[in-house]
Amino acid sequence: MAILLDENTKVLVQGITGREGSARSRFMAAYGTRIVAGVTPGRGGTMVGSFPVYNSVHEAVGRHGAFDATVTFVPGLMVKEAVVEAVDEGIPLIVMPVERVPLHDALTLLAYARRKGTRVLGPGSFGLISPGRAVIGWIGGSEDFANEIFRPGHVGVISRSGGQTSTLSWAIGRAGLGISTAMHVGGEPVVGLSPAELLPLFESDPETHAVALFGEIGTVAEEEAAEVIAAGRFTKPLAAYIAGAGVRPGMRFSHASAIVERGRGTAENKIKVLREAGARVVERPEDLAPAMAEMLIAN
Amino acid sequence: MAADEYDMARLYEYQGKQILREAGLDVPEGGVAATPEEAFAIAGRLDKPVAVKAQVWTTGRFKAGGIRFAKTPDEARQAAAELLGGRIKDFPVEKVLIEEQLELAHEFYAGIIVDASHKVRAPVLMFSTQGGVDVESVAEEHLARQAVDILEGFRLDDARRMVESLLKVEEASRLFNLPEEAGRLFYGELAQSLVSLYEVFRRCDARSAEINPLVATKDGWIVAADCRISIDDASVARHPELGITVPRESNTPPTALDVAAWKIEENDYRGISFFAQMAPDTRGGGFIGYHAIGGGGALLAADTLVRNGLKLANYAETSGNPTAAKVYRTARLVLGQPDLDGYCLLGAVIASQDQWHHAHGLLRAFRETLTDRPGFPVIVLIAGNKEEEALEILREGLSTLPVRFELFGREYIHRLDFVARRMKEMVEEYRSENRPLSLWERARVRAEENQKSESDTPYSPLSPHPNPLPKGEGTLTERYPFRTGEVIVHRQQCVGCRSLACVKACSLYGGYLYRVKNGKMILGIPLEIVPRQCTECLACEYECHLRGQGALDIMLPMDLP
Ligand code: SF4
Ligand code: SF4
Repeated sequence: MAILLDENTKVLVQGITGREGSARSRFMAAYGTRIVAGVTPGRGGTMVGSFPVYNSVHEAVGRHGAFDATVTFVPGLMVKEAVVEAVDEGIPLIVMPVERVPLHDALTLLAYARRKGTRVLGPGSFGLISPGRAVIGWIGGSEDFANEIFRPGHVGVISRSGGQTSTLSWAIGRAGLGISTAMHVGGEPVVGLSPAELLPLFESDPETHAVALFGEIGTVAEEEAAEVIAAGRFTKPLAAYIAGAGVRPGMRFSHASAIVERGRGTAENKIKVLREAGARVVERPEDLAPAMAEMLIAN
Repeated sequence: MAADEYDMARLYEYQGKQILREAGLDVPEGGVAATPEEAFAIAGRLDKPVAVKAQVWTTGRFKAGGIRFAKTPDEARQAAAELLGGRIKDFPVEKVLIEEQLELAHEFYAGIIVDASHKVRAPVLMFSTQGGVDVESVAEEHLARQAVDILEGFRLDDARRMVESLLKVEEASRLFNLPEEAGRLFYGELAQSLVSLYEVFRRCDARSAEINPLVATKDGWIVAADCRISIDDASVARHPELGITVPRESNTPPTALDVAAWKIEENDYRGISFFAQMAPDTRGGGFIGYHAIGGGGALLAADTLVRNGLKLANYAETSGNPTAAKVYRTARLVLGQPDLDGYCLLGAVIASQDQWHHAHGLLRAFRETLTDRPGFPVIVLIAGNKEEEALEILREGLSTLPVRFELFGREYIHRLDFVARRMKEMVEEYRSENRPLSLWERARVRAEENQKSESDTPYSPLSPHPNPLPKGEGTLTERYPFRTGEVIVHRQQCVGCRSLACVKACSLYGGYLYRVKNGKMILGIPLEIVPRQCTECLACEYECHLRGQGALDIMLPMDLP
């Protein structure tokens, strides 16, 4: 089953005529993703490989019917409009690999998407992959590489670090396990889908038996995940690692963010609340995959 | 240390106040001065007791001696003379703000930050009746906060409710000893100042905006007595009017190299390049240049190096599918630091991007900086897509240089301690050898001899870019400009090249720019579309120099300090 994405997910590529858009479309399709069409304003009527290009999402939907997901390979300064368009056309999942989205644009587009019930992965997300089925975003790189790093299986992977999504998935493979769906939630200051929203999705996916979480200091993403576990909305085994314990907290926002977080956001606090909720938190990244394997055997 | 001392994309107090004023908030009367004479003039114009405030990006200015009070213009000149050119907590003071002194009746706090939590994910406005102190220490009951729906905005009614929740109208009148009617007015003003602050926050694409204290004066004005606004890094390009040079956080002012690094990022949006000098003065040696791939493992890897006794001159990072040209420029900055005793790239991550681009980018930088540094230690750990190919390219390329090097692949991502220990050992071996002075060191010695007076400059610029070598003056050269540089082919030197390495390289690593015609390499696409098609992979140059006849050079201009 996997979550959010499988071989039947019908995908649109926004910004398909750009360097990344065209290269990634080819790879995603080669891997098995059901890429149907692309959009680049002003380039409608052309083709990128075998994919027709439209001037707007509206046009693409008119021609091909509703899409299940879209991915935006659009520069950060322009991506807000692309997302609004996709939300307006009712696409339920928007994957945003783009980095350096202006903060106020990100807040605006996320607020807009939330209002309409649209899920946004990112901005700044490397993407997501359901091994052996489909991939959206940067993740995976090339077909051979994706096959080597991401083995199909029963562990869900949520990572707050882009590169570590692959590294952790590779380590999980070496520990003799495989992945149901792996995703990077995005490295930007504010992002859409968070561990707290993803865990319940993994909970209801029968193919996922456990989840590995690569966390990071800053924000309260892990604290919110712990609340979800404590509330019984995620009951499968969870193993986590929190990166950045050695880094001074609060490097991102100003003084005042300390008021909002009030002691939350530090590695110590994240580790503490996750453990209290019943998760297993390891001290070193290399221990995460073996811990996961142990937990699954014990289960 | 307060968290916001790391902010770099930050406005000076005087800039922030200018913007607040434009948004309709009252700020103290005054002006900014770069010389004692200007300070004198401003104080004269104000004709009342003034505060002279050092303009530096740091908190705790008062305690650090950065704020002085002056009764007369002469005293203001004196205070400015003392502050200007000095340093407050490591930050150089280039300007002072001269302002009327306020008679305070009460100090409030107003601020906006972004709450990134999944539940909120919105700007949060905060207001407190206890201003002038560290807002973190204010008790919850004196703090009102409200998440703002960015699609709706923040209105006067919202602001009124916030103010009311902490301060009843009657209390306000009592507190300031005003008749009820005046209390009510004053109240509206407070609310209005919150609305104006929100407007400023939105207008400058701020990450945070704080007024602390927001002052009620004895004569009944609401005045922003101090302000801190930091701009979102990713939005700096939208605000040329703000004059921000290095939009990122740091606990020190940007160095010349930091500024050069920002230009790399600004001129090329593909992938991320980050560079921060950690030890601006590396004389005495023992420092290594540090370069990482990918954020997640990068700090961990840096920690590992430090734990194993290595000193890092800098922190650099290239991630998110950068071009080889961008990798080159970043590595070039890292290697351009004076007196390094090693270079270490730890890509402790299984990266999705094709890592051979990192290999080509690095080799270009190595070839430019390491040919005259026998024994110089180089370690590269690289993993991910095209990992083996990348390691092979590096092995071959590094073998042409006189350096000592070791290469590691994915098996070492989780064995960083081992890699760090090897680095440490290599650095020690290198330092114990009787090595000749490097180009850098020679340049520095020369520079020091030349300008003993300006001993403040830690070093002089490195030797100029060795490429392109002047080849056969007056003969036929072809130039193919791409986005951040250009390819130069010296046709004369191509004659008889059997390898056609450039053509093969471009079709394997790059953008299929070249073709073979009559046994010769030609540009296979119109010149105008080179910028679109060239992926700046640098492979043609490398392969031409290694396997061809060295006729092809790539110009990659960058600002080296
Ligand atoms: S490899 Fe170099 S020398 Fe040979 S054809 Fe290409 S540019 Fe000319
Ligand atoms: S011309 Fe081709 S090989 Fe050379 S840098 Fe551009 S894309 Fe790469």
